[in-house]
Amino acid sequence: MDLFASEALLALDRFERSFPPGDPAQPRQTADRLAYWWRRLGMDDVALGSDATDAQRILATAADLAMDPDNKWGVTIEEATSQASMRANLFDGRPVTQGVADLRRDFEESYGGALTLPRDDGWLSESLTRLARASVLREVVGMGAKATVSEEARGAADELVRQGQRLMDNRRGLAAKKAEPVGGRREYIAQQLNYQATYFLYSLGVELTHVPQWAELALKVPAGAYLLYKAIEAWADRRDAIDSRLDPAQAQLRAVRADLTRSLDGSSPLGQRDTRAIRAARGRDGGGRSR
Amino acid sequence: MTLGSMSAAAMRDLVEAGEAKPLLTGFDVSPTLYAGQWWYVPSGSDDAADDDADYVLAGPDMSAQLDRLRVRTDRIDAVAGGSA
Repeated sequence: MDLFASEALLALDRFERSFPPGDPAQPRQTADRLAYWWRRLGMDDVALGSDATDAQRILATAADLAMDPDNKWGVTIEEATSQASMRANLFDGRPVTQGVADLRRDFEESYGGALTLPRDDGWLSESLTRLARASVLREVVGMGAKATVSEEARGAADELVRQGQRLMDNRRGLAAKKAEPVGGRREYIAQQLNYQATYFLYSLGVELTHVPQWAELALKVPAGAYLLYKAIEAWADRRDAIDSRLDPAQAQLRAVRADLTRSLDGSSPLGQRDTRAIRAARGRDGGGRSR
Repeated sequence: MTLGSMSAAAMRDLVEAGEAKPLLTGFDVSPTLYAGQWWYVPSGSDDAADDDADYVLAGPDMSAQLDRLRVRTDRIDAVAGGSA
């Protein structure tokens, strides 16, 4: 339940942030879409358990606000979080400690730019559908009935888990690489000088043996090729190490560039959030010239 | 099959024939509506052949809850299926 509630809250957040900042239509339209899907899925009937997580409590509060007939203004996640915190302090005794910013950060850390998400309320309806199914399943199990997922569904779920694991492994690999120290420019030059000196001594040794020229060439060329290979390898290692240390804005810029390429191929326009990311990254790259 | 109980295999046949309708789609074992009555496999038995445990008739309270859940799953299926 918590997983799906977190996903639905992130989807609501994405829908909310698809509006330009300060757009007066944002709270009302966010409330309308949430109320629409909430009602269509029969979620009014879902009761939160005493163990409801922060995401569940914020989402349920947002739905209450969205469906309140006296609330003409609408809803924002910020307002829902604030109200959920107030309710928790008054009635629940368990304060709300995690907000949508934490979920957003966890999501970015887990998936980065690896997922392409719909910009309309498609993700919201899908995630709420999953949440609704999970809530039914919870009630079925709660009433003492057995429910076993079919072999086919289990296989699909296993595949999803495998894909997720691969994604996480790749992310962890990148994080581990980031943690490795990058050799400085001085170490890099010293290493290159060391290779050069070794080659020079080797060449001198070959020449001192006074072997015929063809033999001298035969001895020097492989060593020269090896030296060239090691130099290219060291350069590539250093470049990769630096690339993996891109700051978040630059990494986001890369994802946005990929998004932009895809958007140009299709019809979906860039969202406000993406253009903000581009501006932030350009500000970092260009020393603020583009601000 | 005894009065008030039915084998899992018999229930599967009824579902495949379209005579019984499970509450949860994508599940092999799920509370199932057959002939206007709810049938379910009680949870708790945890042996390997659990999936073949018999279905039993649900009582009135549980049937009322399952009726309520049925309304929700119909709505969910309608949204997931893209119908209005």
